[in-house]
Amino acid sequence: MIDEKRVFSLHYFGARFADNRLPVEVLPDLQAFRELLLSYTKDEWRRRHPDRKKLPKNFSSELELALFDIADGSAIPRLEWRRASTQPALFLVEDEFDEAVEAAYQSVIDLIDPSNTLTAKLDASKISALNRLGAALHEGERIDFASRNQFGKVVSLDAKRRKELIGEYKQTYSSRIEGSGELIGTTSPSDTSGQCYIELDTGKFGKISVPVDRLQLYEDFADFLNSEVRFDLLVELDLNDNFKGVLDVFEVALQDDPHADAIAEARERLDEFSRFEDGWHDGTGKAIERRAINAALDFIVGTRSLSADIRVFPIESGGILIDATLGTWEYSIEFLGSGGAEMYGVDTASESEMLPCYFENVDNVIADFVRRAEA
Amino acid sequence: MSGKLTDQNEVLLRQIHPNFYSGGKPASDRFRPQPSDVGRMSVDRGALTTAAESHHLYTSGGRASAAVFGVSVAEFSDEDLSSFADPVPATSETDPNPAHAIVDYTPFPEDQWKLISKRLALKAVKRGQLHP
Repeated sequence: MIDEKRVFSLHYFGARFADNRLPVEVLPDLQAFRELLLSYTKDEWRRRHPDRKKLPKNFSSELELALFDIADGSAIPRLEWRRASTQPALFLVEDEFDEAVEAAYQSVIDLIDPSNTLTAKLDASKISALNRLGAALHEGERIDFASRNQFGKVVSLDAKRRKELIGEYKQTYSSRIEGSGELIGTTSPSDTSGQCYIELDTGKFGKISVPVDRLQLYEDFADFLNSEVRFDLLVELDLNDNFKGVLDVFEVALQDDPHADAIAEARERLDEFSRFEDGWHDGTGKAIERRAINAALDFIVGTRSLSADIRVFPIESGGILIDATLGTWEYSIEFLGSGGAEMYGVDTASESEMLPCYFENVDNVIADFVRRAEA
Repeated sequence: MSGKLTDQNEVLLRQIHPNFYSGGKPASDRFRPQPSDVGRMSVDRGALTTAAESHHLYTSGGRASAAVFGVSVAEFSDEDLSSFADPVPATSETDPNPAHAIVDYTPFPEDQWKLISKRLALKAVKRGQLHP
């Protein structure tokens, strides 16, 4: 028999929560909510008993919170709290624990309420719980909490509000991020008990190191440099959303890449060119510079999502030429031994041309090529 | 270098080394002189040989060619490039090549050769692979 007076309803809003579905990624929220509630319950007890220096024994395990229903709306996990036991000595009057929990819930509301300008000092347990509550929310999603007092105020916790709240107490906050990045390196210490890592270039979060099991590194990643890796991570970000570190790994795996065959073919050609020695072209032709090969491969991988038709050739002076068809444009990118590159092109549908333009590094060429593709 | 080629319809044949051939297309830099060419690009005259004969003569000397593409004298002229007959006599190691000709790029600075080559490559690809 559910006691409705002891039910807390967290209203999740967002497409992922339609049809009263609750993705498992947000389940840690429920535990974090309990910890936040418990922490405020302890505060309330201390407020009521200023003469007591310590909490009663087993206080923390006294608050049991159980998910018993997910109501429609978009999804509303309904949690009922119960006391683990009835300890007569714990509270002076029978209803005191109930009152303390109710007061604690209102404190949670007040904390999340952006109009509440009275910033309370949060202890470590609250900051820790807050740092996990809502960490898996995506952009545009939120959790609503309704006050149970006579005003019935509803407050919302979304990614922005989380960041504001946590930012008042620490310089970083945790967030669950999903996405993909290019595998750019692996680290496996010679000490077999040492932690192994893969390095990913994620674009949005820059280059990040993700801890992986040693066996997983060798079986899944070691032979797949420059491949696309999908990740689902709990990470620590600073208040400017710069990546600071990985807190937990939920998934990290090679991603099916529709361009994998084209990249593999290009890599095979580049490998072949890398073995050229001076005189490779009927007596002429300089050995191909490693920097040119690496830059060309970076370009191919970095622009693969544009679906340009790419052909790779050696250059007699020791570089790599990529001819790329992008829409009506025919581009040529010459990667030089210096690490720089030159790009030029012709629009077959008009008289337009791109005069040869020098770039100091491959990142700049990629950025310019992507910009042209998106123009 | 002897007489300037004047038949605008004559197609000049260009051998494409396997390393410069991918996806059925030549590299776009194959239609400009390379460092050892001193500004003059070698071709064979379509009026005096066929793509197959040209390919045979080229490869019989030990050089590799994956494909033959062609650009007409008119198309070179559109780029203000002149073509000249340049027959090669026999040596102790090679057969003669009376169909050899050169296209002179020296009136232009090298930095302009890239786009010229790019445009010519597109025309050659549009004409299609002539051999094999």
